[in-house]
Amino acid sequence: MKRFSRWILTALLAVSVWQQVPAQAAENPYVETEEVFRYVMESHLSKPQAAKLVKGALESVSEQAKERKDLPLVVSAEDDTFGELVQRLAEWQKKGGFDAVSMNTWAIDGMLSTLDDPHTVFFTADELRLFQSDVENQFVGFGFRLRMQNDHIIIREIVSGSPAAASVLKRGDQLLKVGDVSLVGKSFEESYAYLKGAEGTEAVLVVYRPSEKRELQVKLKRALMTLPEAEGQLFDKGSVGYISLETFGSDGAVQMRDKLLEFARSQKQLTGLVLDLRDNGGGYLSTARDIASLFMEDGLLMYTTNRNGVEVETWVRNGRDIGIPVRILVNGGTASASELLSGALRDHGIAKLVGTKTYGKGSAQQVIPLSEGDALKLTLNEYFTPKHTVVNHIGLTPDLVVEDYGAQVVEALQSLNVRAWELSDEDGDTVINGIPFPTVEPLFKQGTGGLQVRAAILSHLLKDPAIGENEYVELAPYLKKHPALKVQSKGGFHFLTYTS
Amino acid sequence: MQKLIRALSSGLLVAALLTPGVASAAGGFLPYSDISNHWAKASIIRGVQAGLFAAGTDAPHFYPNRDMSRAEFLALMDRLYNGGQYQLYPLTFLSEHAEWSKGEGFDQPYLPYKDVDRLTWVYNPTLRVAIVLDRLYGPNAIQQVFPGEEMKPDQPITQEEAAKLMQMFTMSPDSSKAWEEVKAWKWLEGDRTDKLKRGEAAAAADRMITYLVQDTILPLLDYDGTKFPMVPEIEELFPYFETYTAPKSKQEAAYVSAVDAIRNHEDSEATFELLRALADTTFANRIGLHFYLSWDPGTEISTNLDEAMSAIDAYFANKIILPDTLRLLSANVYDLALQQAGKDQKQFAKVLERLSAYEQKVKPNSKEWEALAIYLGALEIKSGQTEKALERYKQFSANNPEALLNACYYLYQEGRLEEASALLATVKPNASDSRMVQLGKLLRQELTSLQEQSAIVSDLGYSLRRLDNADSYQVQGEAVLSGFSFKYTQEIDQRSQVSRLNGFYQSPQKLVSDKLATYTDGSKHIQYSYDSEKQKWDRHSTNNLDFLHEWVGALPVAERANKLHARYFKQTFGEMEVITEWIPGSVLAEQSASLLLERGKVKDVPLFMNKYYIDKSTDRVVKHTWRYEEIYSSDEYVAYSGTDQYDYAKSIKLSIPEEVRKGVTP
Repeated sequence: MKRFSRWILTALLAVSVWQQVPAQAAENPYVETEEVFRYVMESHLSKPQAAKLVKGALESVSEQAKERKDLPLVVSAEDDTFGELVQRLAEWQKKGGFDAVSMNTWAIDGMLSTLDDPHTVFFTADELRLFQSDVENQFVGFGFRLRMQNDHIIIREIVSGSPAAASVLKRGDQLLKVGDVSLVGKSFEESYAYLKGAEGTEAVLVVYRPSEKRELQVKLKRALMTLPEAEGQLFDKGSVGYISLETFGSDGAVQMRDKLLEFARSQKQLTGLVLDLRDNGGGYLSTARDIASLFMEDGLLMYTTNRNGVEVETWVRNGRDIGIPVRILVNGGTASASELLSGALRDHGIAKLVGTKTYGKGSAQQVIPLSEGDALKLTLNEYFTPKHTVVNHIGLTPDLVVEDYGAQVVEALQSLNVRAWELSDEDGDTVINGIPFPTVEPLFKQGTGGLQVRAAILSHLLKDPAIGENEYVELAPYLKKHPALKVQSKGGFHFLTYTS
Repeated sequence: MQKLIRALSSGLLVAALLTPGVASAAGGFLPYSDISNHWAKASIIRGVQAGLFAAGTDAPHFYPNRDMSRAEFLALMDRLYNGGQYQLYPLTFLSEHAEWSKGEGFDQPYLPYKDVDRLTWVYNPTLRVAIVLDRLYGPNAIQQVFPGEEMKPDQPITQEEAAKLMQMFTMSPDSSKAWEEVKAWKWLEGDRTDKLKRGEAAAAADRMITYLVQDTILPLLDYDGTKFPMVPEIEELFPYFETYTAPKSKQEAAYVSAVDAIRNHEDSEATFELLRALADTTFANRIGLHFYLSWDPGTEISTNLDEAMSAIDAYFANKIILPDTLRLLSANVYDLALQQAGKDQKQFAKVLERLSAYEQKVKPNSKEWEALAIYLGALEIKSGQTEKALERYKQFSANNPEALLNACYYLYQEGRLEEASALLATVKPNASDSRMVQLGKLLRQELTSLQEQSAIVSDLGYSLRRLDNADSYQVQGEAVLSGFSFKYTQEIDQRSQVSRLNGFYQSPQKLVSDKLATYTDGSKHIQYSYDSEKQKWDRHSTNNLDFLHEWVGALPVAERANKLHARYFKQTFGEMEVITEWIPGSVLAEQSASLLLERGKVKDVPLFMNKYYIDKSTDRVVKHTWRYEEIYSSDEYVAYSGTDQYDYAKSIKLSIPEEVRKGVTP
């Protein structure tokens, strides 16, 4: 008898293998529009209709024409094929005297806007570079991180190895001027716009140093820096590790591994780990998988599906069980690969999520180079957690919902059975057991009735929901009620200690 | 036209990958501070030059007397494999795709151990070695070397464990003899349980490099039909044929510049004009002038051939015996003959006649004669005079590797294995002639394997018949066909003659994969396949064959052996018997001439090989790997490779669902 396992692929090939991609017309001014149209039609997760894309493109061009030249161009319902789109674009380009680059950009933006998918994006070559450096945690600048505090722009952190680190600037300095522009009274976004600039350009900064009560002037050059993707240390008072992951770039997994090795070398036996994925917008899936392998020996990472209903499993293999309880801090900025990792580690019972609901980006994109050096970031897949939890447009609801940024850390440590506490303010950060967190509001505030403290943090510290989570409460009554709660002042700073 | 001889010379690169650079071997530089008095110093240095060991400021010491860990040895094997992978290609079928441990399909391979983690330096080298072992010897073969859940990468490796890994570079037919095999090659010197020292590992690697850059592991295997008749590798392809020292005369300078241009692929019409102008003068280097004029791409090949012959005339006119020069000049003639004649025996005969005229000018059985005779033999083969060639090769096969290889190969082709063995028995090379010693040993092993062909055919036939007679079975497969990747599960119910396939495939022109779903009705010869674009089931007849490999796949093994001249090689590794099959493309093209294939007539078959993995305890085929390349008369090129794994455990009952038969949307 004949084996018929060998017939499998034949019929299919007869149908589809030998179709050739049609050669592109050499003089087509709308090559990019065509490329985007083709990629979206062939591959976008939502299986869009051609008519919808054509309509979107024409409406967008029509709007631009109205806005720029007050030229009324009416979109016809008859136009619903790519051929008709090209004809209309050519006609309108002539009518309005527009250039082809603008026509392409408008048409592409219009097509993509119909997808209802903020993650499918057209990139110019420059935007593409920016996107990639973002994922790799690279940026051009002086090398400091800022925060807004009491209407001052304060240097929160200086990046090691940066131009700022080589200068006299220090943490806590207030930025007053960039070149001739005063930043006093300007918003954070406005100030940031003045500080921005191309790699290699210089600017003179004026800062005020409150501790020395004097102004300093410093000339700095903007440089390209790669920030570490994973940073962290052990919390004081106990043996819980803390790792914050900024992005899932190509070094993320190795840096995370090195942090864990560093913890393992310390004298103490770790009893828990806090992984901070707040405001981590994601990155490469391969990095997420490598990082997952630092937590589990093997297991399912996710399911992905595409427009054709093909479901693929992605597994973590040859990893290592972390062997200690893990808490992942999440918030509305926790997206994509961050949600993927959080969801998988939770489904496998390795981690609990603490914080607020995550962003809900359960889709995966691929960056496709286009002919002019531009690129299309295109949504190809939706993913689901190992328990088939839908992430897209929904987000993950944490196991422990905590709104306040600082209180999230406190709650995570509480659930890891941390009993000894020391909390303080430092340059606007809230320091929890030795690790500073960039909270928007300071921990303490001087009120009319004495020292006040962030309600949410106190509530989670004392496990007393009655305190509420609203702004600040006076500390004095709680000091009385809880003998283990103490406040000390050293050098003008307050320290709150507690043993639960 | 690009001369073949130039293309052929690039084959040297393969060896160059593993051959230490000459320049760096010269100085007295020591890569490590702790090896100056060590007995394996030379091997360690060669290992560094071959890229086997890292040296530099980060690695100031080699620690030659320390135990080598399992992980270190695996990394060493990985690097050796990387350099010598072409040697193993006919047994691994592993293309460059498989590099960097990505595997060839959708699923990334992984290790069967709990203590070798992804994000460690040990991981990728270990995984790559495991993939090669898997391919050579079947699923989880590395478990035969390091059994259990843990590999203990930091544990010192024993000599026997090392031997089990090193045997992959041998023709060892049985893993239980790995130790004896490796000892017979003298790669290791200690006892089984001795821990391998780092210095000893370096010495072993050095010996293996020497072995790998010589002959291929199966010297008589011509899996792609390009090896025989074998001619020697030419080391210096562009000599000046004279020594020129400064100051050079105007003519000398002109000649040297023309040769340099040809050597550097920068020749133009002017280059050859210049040579022709020199030929009209009394410039003395007539060999060089004629030789390089034969390289002129602007003239007819017959003219080039005349020039090549004139170069030989000039050689004999000089009356200086230089076998290397005569070898190059003869190679040049042979190369042009290959270009001119293609497959035309008569044309080869004509060239043979011209080249044979020089045989009387050399001393019989001298080095000079050998240089000429190896090409005369090749031309005799090409012109269909095998018997004459055999007689010629036998005359100098005792000390000439190519003559020995050719003699054995054509005796085997003629079915005269006994004669080949007898010839081999007369070869008693000097112990210092490592290439002849190695070749003799490899050939003896290979002739033994060739004598077992019918036994292997019957083993494989039995297991494949068992597959055909199984009531039902399941196949998990991954394949690549003309750039399309497939992953599928197929269930086969042989009682109802129905099979069902589910999976997905990825087109190289698309970004997203698509579903794959078919039902096959074997009794009615109908296949139903799901069209996900139209969302309905289509019907096709399976009466006609599309591809050559479908036809071959349906032939019983005995017929493949007899009719298609398939060659088999069997290796036993632990519980697995692995049978590799190579079918010569020329026979396939010939035998398939009368076939009516949907793809058209078969024009050429550059590659056709299969690997079957048979579980010794059940005699069942558990895995099948294949790699085919087929060219059809429309010039359509089809490359098909993949791996199927068979599971007989589940009982599968299948029928074609009503909605599929009616072609409706499921």
